[in-house]
Amino acid sequence: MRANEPDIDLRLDRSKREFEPGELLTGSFRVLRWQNLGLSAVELSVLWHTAGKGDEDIGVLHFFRVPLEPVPETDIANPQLFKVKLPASPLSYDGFIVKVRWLVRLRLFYLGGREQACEVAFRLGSVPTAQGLSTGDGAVAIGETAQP
Amino acid sequence: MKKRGQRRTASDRVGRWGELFFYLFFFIAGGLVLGWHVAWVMLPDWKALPAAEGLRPATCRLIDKRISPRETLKGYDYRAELRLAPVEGGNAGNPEWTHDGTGEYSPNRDDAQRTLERYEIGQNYACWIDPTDPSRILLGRDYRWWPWLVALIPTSLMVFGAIGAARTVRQWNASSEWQAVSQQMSSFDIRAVQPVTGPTLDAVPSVDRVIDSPGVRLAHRLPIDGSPNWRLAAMAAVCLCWNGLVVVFVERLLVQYLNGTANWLIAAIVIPFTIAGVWLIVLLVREAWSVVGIGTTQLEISHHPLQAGGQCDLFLIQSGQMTVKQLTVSLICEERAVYREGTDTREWVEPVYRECVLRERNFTIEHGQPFESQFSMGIPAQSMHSFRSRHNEVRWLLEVCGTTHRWPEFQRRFPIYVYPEATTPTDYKSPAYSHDEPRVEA
Repeated sequence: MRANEPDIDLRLDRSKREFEPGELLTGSFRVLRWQNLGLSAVELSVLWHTAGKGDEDIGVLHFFRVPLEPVPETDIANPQLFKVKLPASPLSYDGFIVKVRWLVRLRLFYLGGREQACEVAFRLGSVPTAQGLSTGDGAVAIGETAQP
Repeated sequence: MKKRGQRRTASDRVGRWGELFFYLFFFIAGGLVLGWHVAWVMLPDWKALPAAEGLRPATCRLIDKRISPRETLKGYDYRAELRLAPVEGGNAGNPEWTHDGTGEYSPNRDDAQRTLERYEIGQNYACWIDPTDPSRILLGRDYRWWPWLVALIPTSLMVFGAIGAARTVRQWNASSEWQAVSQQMSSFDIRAVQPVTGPTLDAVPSVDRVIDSPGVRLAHRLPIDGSPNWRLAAMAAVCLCWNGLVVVFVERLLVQYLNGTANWLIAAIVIPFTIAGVWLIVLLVREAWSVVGIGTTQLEISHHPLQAGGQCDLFLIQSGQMTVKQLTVSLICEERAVYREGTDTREWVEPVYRECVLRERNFTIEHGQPFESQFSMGIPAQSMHSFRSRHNEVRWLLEVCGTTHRWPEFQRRFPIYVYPEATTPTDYKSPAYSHDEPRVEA
């Protein structure tokens, strides 16, 4: 932590970061020592994004922005609560070349254009990795028991 | 907790500036060219219109005509000139040489000659005369349409530059989340986008495409992915274009050969293209023969969408006229990723799951008596649902493969959609959203 950076506290209420579709995701964030550091805004997002071989795609489930300039809308040193009902899809997925990941991201914007981000990842659903896909008779989960 | 600071680096800022200058360059260059075009081509054209100059319409008699040459760096340019005399009250006035209305200078003398041939000496023609200077006679001026067409080029450059620059400025200091959200919003008022609540079913392709065709035995007939008829039509179009060009070149070569002026270098270049053309014809005939001989493949499904861990019935109809060595239907899941590599956009498909759900061996299909089979299939429990975003996809499909004694092996694919287990059937009607269209509810 640098002296010119605030203390960021982003947390989910549930310690086990695994959720099922339709469940409520609750948490809070606060930013300590943010005054006089030139913060212009704070954004909180609950989102999924893709990783892997393809270019990144992003879908935002929950978003809000707190402007801090010219007049702070709220004191973000106090806990800011958020509550989101998680959707049915897309479920977290760890495939060969496509991965879907969920996270809560807090972005801090400084007046000079600098940004600082803080993330908490969580899983939605219980889809196993592509290698661990259960197979029926005559089925091949490629990568686990691949046949030539 | 993962903490990341200073994600926007100096090189990122340089990249943004570079992107802005790139678009501004097109905007400014387009503006300069458009300005020049308007000032030097369109405006003089407009000013030269007789009506715009206040000339009065009259009748003139053609006294003489000539081709006027003008020396240039490359030689001579030519234009047609007419000697016209205004006719008023049956009497012809003083004749004057004019070129307005007979075209511009052209390096081709024949152009000027063709223009002159349109006019006959002694005939009367409509013209315009300057009331303040009767010696100034205009035969008229054709309204040129091409300057408007040419103006589209710099205009399109300006539009491209303006849109790109506006988008770059808009993305300046905006997070990817903000961009994703604002794409769905007509307003940039941040009050309007908070709080956002998510969709019930996001990034899952709509099932509408699959359930719009009822089946004969079961509920829905699955659409085929890449119909063989479309592939045949595409191949025919390519074959026609390619061989059309080849025929043009071959015809020219034949004419040269018969005239004894054959260019053997050009002939050597054309030969590989001709071979490729013949190869395309062979492929087209073979494909057409296969489509006709193998016949259509229809696959019906009892319900849609499917769910991980769920079961469904399938009904296969294979028509044609052939002796089949083996016919299989496989359930396949594959991942597809689209990515940029330099200036290229590439696609990568990786199979994840394959299961043979039907295998039939050694049987004959007669004309008018298609092969029919009804069977069941299960989607593996806890498997990934169908997922589609702009650059990434997890897709499920059924693949029908056949090997026959007479025809080449054929393969036909039918997309199916697997939805998440937890969703209720009513959720399926929810539209799918992806990167381009995140669902936002104020």
